Amino acid sequence: MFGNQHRFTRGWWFIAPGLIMMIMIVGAPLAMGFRLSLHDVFLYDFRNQFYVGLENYRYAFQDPLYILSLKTTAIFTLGCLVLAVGFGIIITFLLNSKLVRFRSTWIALFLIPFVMTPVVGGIAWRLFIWQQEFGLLNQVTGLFGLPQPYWLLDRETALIATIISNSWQLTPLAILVFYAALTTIPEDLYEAARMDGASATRTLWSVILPQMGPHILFVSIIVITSAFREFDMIMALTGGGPGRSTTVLSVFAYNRGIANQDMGMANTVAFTMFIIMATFAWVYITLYRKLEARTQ
Amino acid sequence: MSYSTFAKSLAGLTLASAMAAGIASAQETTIRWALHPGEEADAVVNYFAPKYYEETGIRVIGEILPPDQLRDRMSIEAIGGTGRWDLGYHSPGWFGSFADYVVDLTPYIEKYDFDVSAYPDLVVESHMRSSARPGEYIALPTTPAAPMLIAREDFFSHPDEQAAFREQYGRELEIPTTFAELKEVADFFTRPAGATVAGETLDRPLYGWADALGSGNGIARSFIVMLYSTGLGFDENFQPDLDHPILREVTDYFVDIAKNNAPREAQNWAFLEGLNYFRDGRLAMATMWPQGIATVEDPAGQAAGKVAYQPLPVWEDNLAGYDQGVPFLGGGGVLVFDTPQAEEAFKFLKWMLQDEEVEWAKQSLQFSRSAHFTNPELRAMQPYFEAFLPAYEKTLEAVFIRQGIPEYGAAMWQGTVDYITDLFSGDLTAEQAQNRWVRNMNQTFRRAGYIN
Repeated sequence: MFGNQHRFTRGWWFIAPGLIMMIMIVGAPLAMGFRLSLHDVFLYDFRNQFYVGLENYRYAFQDPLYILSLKTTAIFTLGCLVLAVGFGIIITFLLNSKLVRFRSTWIALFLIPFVMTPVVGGIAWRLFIWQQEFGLLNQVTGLFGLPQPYWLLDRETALIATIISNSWQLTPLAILVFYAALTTIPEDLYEAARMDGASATRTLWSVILPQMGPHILFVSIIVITSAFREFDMIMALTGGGPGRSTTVLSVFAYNRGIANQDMGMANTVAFTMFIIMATFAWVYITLYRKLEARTQ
Repeated sequence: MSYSTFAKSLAGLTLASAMAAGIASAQETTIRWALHPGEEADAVVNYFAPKYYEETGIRVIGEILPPDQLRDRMSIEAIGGTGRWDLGYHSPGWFGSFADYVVDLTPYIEKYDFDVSAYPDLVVESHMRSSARPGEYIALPTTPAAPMLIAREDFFSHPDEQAAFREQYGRELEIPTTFAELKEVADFFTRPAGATVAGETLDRPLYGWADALGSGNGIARSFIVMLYSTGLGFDENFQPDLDHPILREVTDYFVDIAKNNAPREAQNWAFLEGLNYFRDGRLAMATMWPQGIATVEDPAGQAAGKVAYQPLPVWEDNLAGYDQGVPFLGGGGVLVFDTPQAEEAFKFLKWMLQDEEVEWAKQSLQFSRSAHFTNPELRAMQPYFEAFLPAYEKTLEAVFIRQGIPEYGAAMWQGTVDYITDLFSGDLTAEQAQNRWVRNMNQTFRRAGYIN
């Protein structure tokens, strides 16, 4: 029906619509962003753009605030990864227990943060949990006569508070994927572990976690990419303060672009974020393929 | 029907139709205004807009936006040409960035007899003009405002306090007229709970001085008052003198007084919130923007009727030879965007600010036109206006106005925000913050073509 030439090209016809959309939606803004990062361009005078080559990149890497934001982003991302994946595994493991009743109700409840807009989630946490005077946390600490800190206004606690709030939003994704993954583990493996006298912890460690390796890796990459570019939740919680203690790269880029009106530098920061994430994604895909091959 | 009856009927019908059309057209006219929250916004929404609608049938819809979103959203709508707002309030530091999207008000000012001379020259320069639109008026001032020093008169006049101060500092206790004196007096009045002040035991700590020190605009607004009093800035050749050692001096002074004499809570205040502390007897002195006067003179508070008002202290050895503190002339004005309603929008502003000038001052508690300082009705409106209005008029005589370049906001205001935020928080060293500011300002001016 099809000639040899058609056999090799027809696949392209099938993916062409998606590919074109992808180029338009992802590729074009990316190219525009990269182009702007090579220019001196200010928001109030957007039409006048001056080519400066890699000067913006050179300055960004020398700017102590960029380096600080990079470190803050790394801590924030790592913190969210540990909490979201850690709590995701624990909650899923508990949910999977035969002792749990109304399992679907519990799962539905755990999914609520996931469907909530990050800004709304951030405002809710700021007002109802972290608020110094009326927040839930300080109401509890007050009951025990403990100090009632300004969680979001003290440098020492603000980053931790934002990590916890953001992890709250990311954990349901982990639960969803891990729970689905748990159902794919053959019952024989549990049976074998039981016959060998393995405890629940040992079963989790030696049977479940190795089987869930690719899924953990998958959730990790989603959590990392999401936390790495997080903006809404942080803006709603702290706006990047106090000082620069919660200024992650996305907030830094926003400040440069909107507050300083320096769109060239804002795009430079954003593009470095893309490079970091693209590198990370490449490492992930390589790892994922190896791990998947090993588990199969 | 005779010819004359027919002609009269026709004329009557035409007139009625024209009136009906006029009314219908007026009823269809809606002016939309992006507002910054505050007493003046409430006055627009709750008083002037309904009154104007009653008088003219023209609806004015004020949309009060969060302060930290106002500029971004106005910029986005203006650049996008959506015509969402006919009027937009903003601080003049950023007027230049809207220069391409607003109308020249000069023809309207002439056509409708808007009296520009009713405002002090510096207000006109700052809140009506921009070098991005030379020779034109691009805004009308609604809330030009500058901060002043307030103090508890009863503390300063108490014999025990006077004697103690004389013994400690070897001079009379007076409301400070220099920043060096301000620090001494602030130290003197900073006392823990259980100590006494003016013969009374304190149940909570008393702080010598405070201003809003919240991250971002709060602390920048507070710091900039002291910064400009040193005479720093950039000259007409756009050479920043921010690498001058006096910048470090004023920064050290500010960080010292802000950390040691102001309450910790001040670091959460964005603008006027801290004046509650003054009202409640927890501050001896404060920097007050005029919008806060109703708070400090709240009859339910401890400070009412005991407040002294004066312009800010002078920074000794300042670079510009100022003889009083030079606060930043803040507040803002209203830009008329280039929309089909521009003329109607101007007419509304003129009615509110000029035809209703006394009512505007009463409702908004904003004072800038000459009538606001001379009108006997206003002077008598509150017992404390007799002391406040002359001191405020004097404050407005020596203010720092932003340079009218489009880059001012990014280079100077945001530069100040970044500089003091990074230093106060300890995220950058003084040298790093200073170098960063100078570099950013030079880069901005170079790119704009002001310097080579």
